[in-house]
Amino acid sequence: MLINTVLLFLSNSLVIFMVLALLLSIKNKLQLCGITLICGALVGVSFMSLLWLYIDEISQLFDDTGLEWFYACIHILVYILILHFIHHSNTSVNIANNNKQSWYAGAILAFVIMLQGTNFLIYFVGYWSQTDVANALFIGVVLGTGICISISILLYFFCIFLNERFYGRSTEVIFILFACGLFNKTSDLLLQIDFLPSSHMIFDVNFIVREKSELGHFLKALFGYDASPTLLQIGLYLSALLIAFFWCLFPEKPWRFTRVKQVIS
Amino acid sequence: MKTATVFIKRTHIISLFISLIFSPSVWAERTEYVVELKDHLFFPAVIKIPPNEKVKLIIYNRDTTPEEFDSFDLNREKVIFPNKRAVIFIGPLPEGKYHFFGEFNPNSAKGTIIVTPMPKRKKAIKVIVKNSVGGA
Repeated sequence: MLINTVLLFLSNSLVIFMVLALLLSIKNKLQLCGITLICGALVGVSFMSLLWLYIDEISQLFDDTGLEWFYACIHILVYILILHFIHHSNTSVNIANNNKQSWYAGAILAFVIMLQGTNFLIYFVGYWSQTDVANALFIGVVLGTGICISISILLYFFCIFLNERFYGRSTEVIFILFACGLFNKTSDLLLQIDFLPSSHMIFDVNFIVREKSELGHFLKALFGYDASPTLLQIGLYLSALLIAFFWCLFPEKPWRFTRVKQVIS
Repeated sequence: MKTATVFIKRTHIISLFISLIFSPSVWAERTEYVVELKDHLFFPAVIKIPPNEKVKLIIYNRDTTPEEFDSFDLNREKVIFPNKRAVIFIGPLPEGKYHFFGEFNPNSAKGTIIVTPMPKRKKAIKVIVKNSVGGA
């Protein structure tokens, strides 16, 4: 029970800690408001509690596929929010823009806490009533929190190192990969409910990094690592990546490139 | 008259868009297999399905605690709430054995899906649960 609790906590909560680490690593650069981030986290906890109350009702909607539809919609919403957040970091720095950025960051944090926290809350509350496992649950949560904090601190300093030494927008690139990972999870959910046509897997790299290993959990949380994807999933992931890079890293009006070329010639 | 033509055109575009979104896979009939979860055990623990065919797995949770259906082999994960049912589509799969388990009780809730050639079934398989000692 103890190991299971730690593993479940890691698989569900690691994403929250990683998003927090990514946001904190660019907090000073984008002058994000700390209070807005705390508000976002608190709103996320409230949403999580609210979702936990109604989640079994939601799951029974649309011929028992309600939960997948709900999660898929929220994943896409978070994907768009992240792209908006990074896109706005390109524009000029002023107080109004910084406030907007802070609200985007707060909203991302709130939705991620709601999505990831609810699943663990279902497990935690469901088994808390069993008196013989309460201790194991509590110790498991403490251990899981410790591991998550350690990983997020490492990620935070890794991002700062990359930003200062290699490329100033490394955190943004990691954030884009994270957003595309959410898109990959959406395709998983839609395949599960037979909305997307499923096909045979293209490759299976479980023998290199097992998807359910500790490293697999980390990579899945970071960029949606899938050891055995189908062709459709690869296509969707690459499309999400292309859209994200085009939207976030290119200039606001890319057709200016052609004009510059014309002027030069 | 012009407004009506525009309306018909728009309706055609919307219906085409909806039919594109809702791919034929959504409406296709799938063979159903019913599994029950009781005392943190899957009944039946072994399910045989035909190869290269997508099937619908209906899982009933008869326990008072939630459970999460999980399978590394099938790449599926879904929470099943107490006294509720969940639907998961699996396949098309090549012949072989695919393991699944309950993530909240991985030591007891275990099962296997065996993909093997078999005569096609059209109706759902009804599982009669017997509370025999020793579970599945």
